[in-house]
Amino acid sequence: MSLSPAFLAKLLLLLPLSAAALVWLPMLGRLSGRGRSAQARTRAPNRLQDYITTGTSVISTALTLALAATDHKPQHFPVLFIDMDVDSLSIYFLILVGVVAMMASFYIGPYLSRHHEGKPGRQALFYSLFNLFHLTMVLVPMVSNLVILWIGIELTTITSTALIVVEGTRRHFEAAWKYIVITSTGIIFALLGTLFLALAQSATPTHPSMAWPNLVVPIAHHFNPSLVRLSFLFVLVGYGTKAGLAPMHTWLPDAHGEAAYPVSALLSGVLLKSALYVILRFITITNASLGNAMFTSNVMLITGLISLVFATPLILKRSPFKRTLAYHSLEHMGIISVGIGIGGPIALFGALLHVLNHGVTKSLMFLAYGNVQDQYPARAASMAPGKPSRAGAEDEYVGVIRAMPATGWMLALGGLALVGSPPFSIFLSELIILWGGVHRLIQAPGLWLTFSIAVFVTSITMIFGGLVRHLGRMLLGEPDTCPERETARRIVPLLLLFVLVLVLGVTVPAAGLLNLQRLLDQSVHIVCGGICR
Amino acid sequence: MSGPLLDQFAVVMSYLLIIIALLISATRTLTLIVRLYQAQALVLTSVVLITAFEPGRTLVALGLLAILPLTLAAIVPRLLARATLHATIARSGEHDGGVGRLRYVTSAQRGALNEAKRIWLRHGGSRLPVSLSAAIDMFLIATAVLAAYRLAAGKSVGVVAPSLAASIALLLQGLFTMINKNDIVSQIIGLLVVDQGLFLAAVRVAPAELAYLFVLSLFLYVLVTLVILLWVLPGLHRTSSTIEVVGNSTLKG
Repeated sequence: MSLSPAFLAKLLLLLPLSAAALVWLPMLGRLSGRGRSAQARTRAPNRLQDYITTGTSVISTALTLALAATDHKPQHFPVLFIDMDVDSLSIYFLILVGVVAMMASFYIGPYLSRHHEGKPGRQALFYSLFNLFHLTMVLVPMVSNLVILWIGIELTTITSTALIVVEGTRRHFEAAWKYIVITSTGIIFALLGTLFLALAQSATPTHPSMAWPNLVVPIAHHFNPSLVRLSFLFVLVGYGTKAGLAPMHTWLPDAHGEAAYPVSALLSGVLLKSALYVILRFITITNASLGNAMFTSNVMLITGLISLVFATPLILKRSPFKRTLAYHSLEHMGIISVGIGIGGPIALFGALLHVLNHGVTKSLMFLAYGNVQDQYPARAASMAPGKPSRAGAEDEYVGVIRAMPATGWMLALGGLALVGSPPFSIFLSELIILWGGVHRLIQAPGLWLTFSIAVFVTSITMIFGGLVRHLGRMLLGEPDTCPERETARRIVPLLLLFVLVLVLGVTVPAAGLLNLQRLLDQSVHIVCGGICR
Repeated sequence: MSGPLLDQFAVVMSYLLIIIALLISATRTLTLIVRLYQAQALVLTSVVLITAFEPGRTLVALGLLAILPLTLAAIVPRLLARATLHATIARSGEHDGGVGRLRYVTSAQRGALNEAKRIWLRHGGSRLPVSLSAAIDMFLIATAVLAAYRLAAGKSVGVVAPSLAASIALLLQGLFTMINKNDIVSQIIGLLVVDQGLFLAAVRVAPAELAYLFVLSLFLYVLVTLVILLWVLPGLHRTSSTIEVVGNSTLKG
């Protein structure tokens, strides 16, 4: 059996799909477990489902790394009747999906044991949906047809909505409602934008196509430019809604804030980037069609700056911690958009690196905070009956560093990383974006770019103070209660994520198992489409 | 009928869709809003069928597509009624949870639509006055028409300009309905109006060679709509005991 890149990619799709089905098997076994105690019957399926899900995500990550170790030549292969195209940009996003899904999968078992103990049906459903969500996010970077890509993004919406709704409380239903209605409405714009792109091909001598590899070739110059521009704007509104870009971000704090923390890690770490991946494909197509990057650059720069300006006061105000983390997603998607908007190989390199850095750091924060929520009984104390409720009161944890040293330090260092402090990864990617901006400014001085860079620097500086204040309240001081002991299961994934945050803050690996620098260079080349200045 | 005549008839029907959307926006009773949605879905079905008989179109694919709005027109009111009753059941407390609640829902389902219609009579209001809503709607329609004709001016896509205008208008009107209405059921109707715009664009605007792809995407969109109607909306109504937007705003975005 040959392990060709196409075969590896097919396995990446098959694994989570199989796992989504396999996690139901223990439920069948329960029917015949008459002789065992009720507790044993509940725990055994949970453990098997846990092994299936974590095992799948670990193997998926290994397969993705194996795919990344190949020569990165674009691969075209069919799966059933769907055409797939995998290039360096796809592999880069697959790495992000693999790493975050793997780390999040380790927390599902502990989360379900604490919140849904004795509900084997709900546990099986949660595991199954998690694997399906994983599958949809693997599917998106592989699909070549833009309409099927839209379907892939809609499938991520369905599976993630189900993962929020499965909790069953009023807040979860409300968050899921906002999420699915806002993103589904937005995504209609994306489909109309895709349709406009199809319509823009009416003047071309060839058969119209919706496969992105066919749309970045010179034939694209024959497209109707007005329709191509309108198509990009609709696509940006549509997928921008899903990517959490302002002002279409209103679903984001609710969904990220209410979802189970392993799901929040995936939503923030990967889902937003899946939508960004589609926007990147459309940027390449639009630039190829218009013959320059001026239009997409300006639009992305404006969108990014709006997101940064929206995010700053939201982060500075006092909110429940998970919501604050969600507002940080808005900020970081803004930073990525600004990087893409500045354009040029340097800023694009920084923006793409920021995609991975934000995904990894944000997962670290959500998962570490999940540890605190699960093991810290302070919540019950602070929410005593009769005590007035106020913003953020539901997570008034104090003295986390003393009570849970490993988790506390991960939160502290992860928080510093998230706000762009050296020597962590986000600092490096933000610095590269800034360097790219200054480089462009030296090449072609202009008021608009100067203003953009000034807003970018001001926002990230102000935001720095915001999260530090939030974390200081939670981490320092004397704990008012004694939380449960930290287990290796809950700490080791955090440490691994932190090592990644640290390594990516010092260097972009250019050799060894994962030649990230080569992958990023090739991805920049793909997004530029040969017209980057 | 000849090709151009069929085309003109389809365009007239497309404009009828816009007028119905305008009425949905101006109507203050949910019962009427739901009926208008059904009428709009039927008009859309006729547009799809007319288009299927135009020369150069794939009759089978488009004929199949006509089933979608027709099916939605038939099932959406029942699903909305079910979701509405979930709110009433939760508020009335005429059940003792678990099996009692299930029994109550089952008995309520028998006359669900009639029961829901009585509730809908009390809902459907807008945030803005009727005259202002209508003015905004007219502005949105004018914007859509101008945008579509400007885009298509002198180009090979000129023939689809009227349908493109109608699609964009429906999209904008649906969005406005979602923002302007006070209750969640009306918001869903707004989403379905947006959906109709998408249907129209897929059938009338997309190049014939790619129409099947967009049809495929519409099936998925219907799946999303069903997830909302079957799962999220009843759950939301059950847990909040109300169908008003203000009663479902504990989270602040």
